Amino acid sequence: MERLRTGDLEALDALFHRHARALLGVAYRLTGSSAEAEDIVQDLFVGLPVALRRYAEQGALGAWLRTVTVRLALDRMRRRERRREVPLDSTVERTAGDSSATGAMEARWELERALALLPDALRVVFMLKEVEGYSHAEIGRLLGIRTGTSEVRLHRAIKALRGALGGQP
Amino acid sequence: MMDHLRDRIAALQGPEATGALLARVHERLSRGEHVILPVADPAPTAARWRPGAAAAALIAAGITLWVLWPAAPLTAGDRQGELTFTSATPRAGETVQVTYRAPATLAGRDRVVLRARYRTSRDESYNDGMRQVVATELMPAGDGLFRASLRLPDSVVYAVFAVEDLDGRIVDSNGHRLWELLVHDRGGRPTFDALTQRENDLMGRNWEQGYETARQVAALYPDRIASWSNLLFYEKNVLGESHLDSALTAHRARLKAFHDRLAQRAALTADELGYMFWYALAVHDTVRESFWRSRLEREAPASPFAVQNRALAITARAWKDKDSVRALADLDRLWDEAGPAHGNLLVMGWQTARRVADSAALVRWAEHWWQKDPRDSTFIADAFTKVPALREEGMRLLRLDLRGLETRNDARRALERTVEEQRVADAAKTREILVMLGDALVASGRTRAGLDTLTLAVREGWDIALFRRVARIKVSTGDTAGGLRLLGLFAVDPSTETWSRDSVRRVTGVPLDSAAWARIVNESRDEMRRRLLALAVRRALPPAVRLEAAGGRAVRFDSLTRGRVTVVAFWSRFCGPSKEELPALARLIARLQQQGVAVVTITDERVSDDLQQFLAAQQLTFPVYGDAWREASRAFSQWGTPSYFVVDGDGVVRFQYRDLNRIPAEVAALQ
Repeated sequence: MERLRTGDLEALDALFHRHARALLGVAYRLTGSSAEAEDIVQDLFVGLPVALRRYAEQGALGAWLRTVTVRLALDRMRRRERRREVPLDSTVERTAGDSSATGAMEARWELERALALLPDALRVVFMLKEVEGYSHAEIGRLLGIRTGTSEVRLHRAIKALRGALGGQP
Repeated sequence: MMDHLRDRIAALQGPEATGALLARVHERLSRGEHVILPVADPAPTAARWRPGAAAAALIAAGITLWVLWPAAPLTAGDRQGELTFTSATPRAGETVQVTYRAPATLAGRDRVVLRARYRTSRDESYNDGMRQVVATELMPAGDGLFRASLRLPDSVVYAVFAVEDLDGRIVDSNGHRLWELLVHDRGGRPTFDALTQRENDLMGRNWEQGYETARQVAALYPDRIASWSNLLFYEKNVLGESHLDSALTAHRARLKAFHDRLAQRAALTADELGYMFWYALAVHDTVRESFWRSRLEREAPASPFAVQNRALAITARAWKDKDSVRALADLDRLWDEAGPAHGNLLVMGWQTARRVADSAALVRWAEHWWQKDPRDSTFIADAFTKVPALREEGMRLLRLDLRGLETRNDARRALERTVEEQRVADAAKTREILVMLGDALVASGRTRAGLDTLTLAVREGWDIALFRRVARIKVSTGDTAGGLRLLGLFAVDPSTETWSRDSVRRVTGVPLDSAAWARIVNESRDEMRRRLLALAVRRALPPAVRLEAAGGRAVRFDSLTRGRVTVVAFWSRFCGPSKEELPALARLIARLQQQGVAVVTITDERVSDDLQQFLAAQQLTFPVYGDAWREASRAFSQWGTPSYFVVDGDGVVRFQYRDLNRIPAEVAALQ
C-alpha cells in the first residue's frame, strides 16, 4: 500500500492485474458502454496514487475500489444526461467484429439491449442491488435518494426487464 | 426466474483488462495527469423547492418575473453603463429606440458600437458557433447619453447585446449578464419562442437562470407540453434527484392530463408529438412513451424528434446484428430523406463512418457536417489525419484553420470579449491545432517537421501535459537540451506530484548533475511566471465590497484578503456542476492555506443553519460567506457558478473563470 501511495508503477500494475477485469465489468454493466468502462477504469488507476493517501485501510481494498468505480460511473452518467447526450456508444460500438452470431450471442444482444433501454435511474438501481450486491441503504447513499425510492425503482426495473424480454428469464 | 436473470446479467463481462489499457494508465501518469477520485458519497441535497408548494410558487415566480422583466437596472459604475430599450416589449420586426448611459471608460467617445447575438426560433442550445453582429452604432446625445434606432430583423425572437468602443478594446457586457430583448406578443407577453431561445442562450452560461426561465415558461404557457418537458429537464439537472422523486408524481399526473386531451386528436404538430414522446420518456411512463413514439414516427417521420429516434433505431439494430455497413447505408438514406434535421443523425452517421473505416463515407459525412455548419472543421480535420488515405487532406484543413485564426473575425468573438481577449483565445486554439498538425506530421514519417510544429505549439501558453509529451519526442530525436527545458516547465508547476517531478530527470537517459537541474528549474520558474502573466487580465475591484458572515454579520472583502494573493470561489449548492467540484475545491483550499494564500468562498444564499448543516454533512470546513447584497457578484462581474478568480496582493483581479487545476500555478505566478 505504501508503495502505491508513492506512485510505484510496479505496485500499481499488480493491483491492475488483480482487480481491473472485475472493475471493468462493474463499469460496463452500469454504463452499457465498453469505451466508457475503459475510460472509468483508466481514471480510477490514474487517480489511485493520490486517492490512496486518504484511504483509511478499513475494510477490503477490492470493495473500496468497486465503490469508487461505481461513483465514477454514476458521475459520468450524470454528466452525460446534463449534456443531453444519447449514450451512442451503447448502440453503435457493438457493430464491429464477425457477423456469425450464435444463439448464445443473440441472447446476449437481447439482454444487453433490454438493459440499455431501461432508463438510467432504474438500470443503476437494478445493477447495484441485484448484480453488485449493495443494500438499498447503500444505494440510497450512493445516489442521494431515499431507501424507499431505491426499492421502488428496483421493482420497476424488474418489471420493465421482464416486459422487454418477453416474460423470458 | 429472477435468479436466472441476475446470473445472466452478472455474466455480462466488460472489455478485457488489456496491456494496452494499462499502458494508457502509465502514459497518463507519466504526463503528470491528475484525476480526483470520488472517495465519499454525496450528501443528500436539500431541495430548494418544497414539492407541495411548488406549483403555487411556480406560478407566482413566473408572474413576478414577467412583471419585473427586464431585470432591475444595475448601478452604473466605472465600467458598467446602462442600456435601455423603448419599447422594452417589442413585437417581431419592430423598431426600438436604444439609449445608453456610458460609464467613465466609454464616455466622451464620438460613437460606440452596439453588438448583438440574434436568435431565431430554430436556433439550438448553447452559443458555440453562434455569430455575433454589429447591430448599430450609438451616437452621442448629450448628458453622457448615446442613442440610436434599431430595427429587429423579422426572424429574430431573442437578442442579447453588449456595447464597446470602435476598436473593441473596452467592452461593457453588463457584468457578463449582457442586455437582452425578447419579442413579445400583442398582449405584451414574451413569446414562447423568445423564452425558449433565452433558455438556449443561457445553456452552459447560467443553469440557474435557465431554470428560472423554464419555470417562467411553464407559468406563462402551461398548455404547451414543451413547457413541462423542458421544466423537467432543468429540474433533473439543477435540483437533483432528491427533489425529482416527488416532482415526478406531479409530472406523471400532468402527462396523463395531456395524453387524455391529445391522444385522440388527429392534427398535431411535429413538436407536440415529439414533446409528448420525450415527456413520457422522462417520467418513465413506458406505455405512453410507446404510444407517442409510434405516432411521432408515423405522422412526422422527417421531424427532428423522429429523425433522432429513427437514427437511434438503426444504430440499435446494428448493435444487435453487428452490421455497421448496412447501418451506414440506412443512415445515408435517412440523411437523403431528412437532411440535417437533428444533430444526432450527424453524430451517428459520422461515428458509424469512422467505425466502418470507409474513407469515402468519412468524407461524405464530413460534407454533411459542413452543410450544417461550414465552420465545424477542426475535429473533422483531426479525424482525417488519423486515416492514412485522408491524412494529407486533414493536414490541409488544419492549415486552413490556422490561417483563419490569423485574421480578426468579430463574428466569432463572443459579446463579452475584448479583441485582446479573443486574441488570447485564438492563440490557445492555434496551439491546439499545431499539436494536431505536429502529431499528423510525425505519424506520416516527417518527424523533423512534426517536431518543429510541436515546438511552435509549446512556445507559449501553459499546458504541462503537452510539455512533457513534446519533451519525450525531443529527447528521442536527440534534442536533449530542448527536452530538458520543457521538462523543467513540467516540474515547476505546483500541481505536478513530487514523485512525478523527481522522475523527469531520468527521462533523458543522460546523467545530469543536481546543479544543472537546479539551474533549469530556476529558469523554468521565471518562464512559468512570464507565460502565465501573459494570459492574465487586470481588473480593479471596488473598495468596499460587503459579504455576509455567519450570524448575519457584514464583513468587508478586503479585510479578509489583507494584501495577500487571494483565491475567490463563487459556488452554489443548488448548481450541479458547482456541487460536484466542492470536494476538489476543499482539497485545493487546504493546500493553498498551508502556503499562506487567502481563500474566500462565496455562495449565492444567506449563511443559514440549513447551509451550515449542508457544509457539515459534506465535511466541508472552509469558511463560507454569503453574497447577501450581491455586491461581490457585481464587483467580480460573475454570473453563474462555479467561477474562480485569483486576485493579486494589490486587490486586482488577474485570473478569472479558470479551472481549478490551473489555480496553483496562477497563484505561484503572482507570489
